[in-house]
Amino acid sequence: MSEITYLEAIRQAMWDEMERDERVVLLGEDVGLYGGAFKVTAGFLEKFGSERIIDTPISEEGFTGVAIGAAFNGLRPIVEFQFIDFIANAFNMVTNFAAKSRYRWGAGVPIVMRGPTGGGVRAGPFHSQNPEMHFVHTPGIKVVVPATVADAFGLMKSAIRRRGKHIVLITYGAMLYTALEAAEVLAGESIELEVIDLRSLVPLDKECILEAVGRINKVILLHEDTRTGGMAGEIAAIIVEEAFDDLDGPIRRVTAPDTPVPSAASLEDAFIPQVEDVVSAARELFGY
Amino acid sequence: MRLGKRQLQELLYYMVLTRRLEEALARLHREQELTTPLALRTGLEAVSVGASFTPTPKDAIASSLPTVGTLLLRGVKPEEIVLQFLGKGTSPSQGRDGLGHFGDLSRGIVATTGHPATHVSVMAGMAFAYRAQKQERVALALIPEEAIATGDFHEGVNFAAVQKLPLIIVVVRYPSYGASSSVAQLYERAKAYGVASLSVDGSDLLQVVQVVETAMERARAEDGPTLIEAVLRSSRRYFGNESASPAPFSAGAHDIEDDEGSKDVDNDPAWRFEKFLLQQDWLSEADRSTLVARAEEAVSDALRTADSAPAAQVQDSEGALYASS
Repeated sequence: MSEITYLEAIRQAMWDEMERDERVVLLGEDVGLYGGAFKVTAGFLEKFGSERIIDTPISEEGFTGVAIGAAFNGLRPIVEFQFIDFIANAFNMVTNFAAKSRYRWGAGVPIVMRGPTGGGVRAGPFHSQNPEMHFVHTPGIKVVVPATVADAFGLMKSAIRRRGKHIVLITYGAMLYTALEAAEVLAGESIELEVIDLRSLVPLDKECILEAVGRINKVILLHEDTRTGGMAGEIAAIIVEEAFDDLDGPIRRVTAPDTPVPSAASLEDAFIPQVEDVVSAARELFGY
Repeated sequence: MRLGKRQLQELLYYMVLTRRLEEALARLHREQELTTPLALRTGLEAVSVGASFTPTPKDAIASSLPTVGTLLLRGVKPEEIVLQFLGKGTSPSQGRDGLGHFGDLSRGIVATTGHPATHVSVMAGMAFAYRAQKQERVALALIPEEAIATGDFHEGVNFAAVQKLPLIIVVVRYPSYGASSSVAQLYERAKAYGVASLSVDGSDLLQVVQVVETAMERARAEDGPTLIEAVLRSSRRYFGNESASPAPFSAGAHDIEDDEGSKDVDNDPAWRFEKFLLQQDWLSEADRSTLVARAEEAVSDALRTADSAPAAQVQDSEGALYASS
């Protein structure tokens, strides 16, 4: 198989599903004529037609609602948010309508909401956020964060991306690459980092986490999301509750600070956890 | 559609049953048997019953009007409604949700949320799926006046208009209740969306039936959505909008017989329709007594069943969140 990019993997997965299942429709801003903000859906309109590729008005709450209703009547909509930040505009529909529907009255909402998350593109406070915890904290929504091209195509369980014996680092999303780079640096200092990529936040693969902590005993939690109320806090609590005796040092969090994502390159780099941040946390923990 | 005497009487029966059932719910609330905040809009029977009469169960309805008329027309049994409001273990949502937040796709009912217009775009989505699947069906969203001030309303109506979807939106308006829009008449807003609109006396059952029929025909002819403005004749709030509002439940149940002859007869949808049928000789006094007795019996049966139903049990609620895959 020839090499493809992350975007191509998402595109291919959606294309395949649309070919396989005519119930799959795609809604969002500029997904049709323009081919998507990142050209993920270029060529979809020509192939699948305007009945299945729907250019919507700028109205996230509205078209998310439309997807819910269409799912009730048998379609399997994919909703695209150009940037996942825009899901804030659909918050009520996602958290109150979609998430609670099956619980309240048995009507499941089989829709996929998809969007690019995080910084690194100098796009500032409205096109770079990591809003996953709003939805991790809302029962009724599954949250997955593919880090690799293969996972962007299809997700399974958590993956151990690198073996190590001194410290286990648990992360998800694009931070995987920061972690792997840090692991390389640390290897030069004979500190062996194991790297776990969660892939899915809800449901969470607890067994994988606890098994690694049982073997390795020192833990770094890394995410691009902000610190307070982030996924790292939740995982730390699980480890402390269920594997307290396995720990040989304090759990360390490496996260963004509690601010919006800034625009300027220097500020954004300071905001997003860097390889050096992981390396210095690992050195400290190694010597504990 | 020409309605025969039997159908007209059946319509009156549903109005009376709606009224009786809501009175019973208000009573349960006063007696603190019903412990959730109670939202009722008794007095809207012409809209809830009238708008739900023509559409068949394959035309899905969602209503945030808090009135049980639509549910009854969809074949929901009075006991199911009482169980739902009481949050009993055998209620449709097994106690997980109360109020009139009742949904059952097999009966063409989409549950609304606590927000008055979120279902407008959801019903637009249903309408979208109908068309995509080449089904000749129409989706209906019933909303109260305050819903038109929300972004949900705007985004849903606009999407339906852009896509020319088979969607009917019925907005109930009170004659003196102007906090929601600076525009006196809704058709002016409809014009701005490029949506057809119809205005109707929301206290007149047959007018509502007729206007919904017209909108259904438009939808089936692929002429797009219709916004129906149903203006009530009276701002009278029977039990208040919800239990904490100033119009108290202690105002008491408004009995259809006791209040006969009061000045509100012409403005009250149920009394007015009953008077009309009596005048036209489509209803005799004997028919009327039978009909009221039938409604009362249905309500007391429902209350009896609900009373002996078990309380909601704590159970594996995470299992209710996701389909097992």
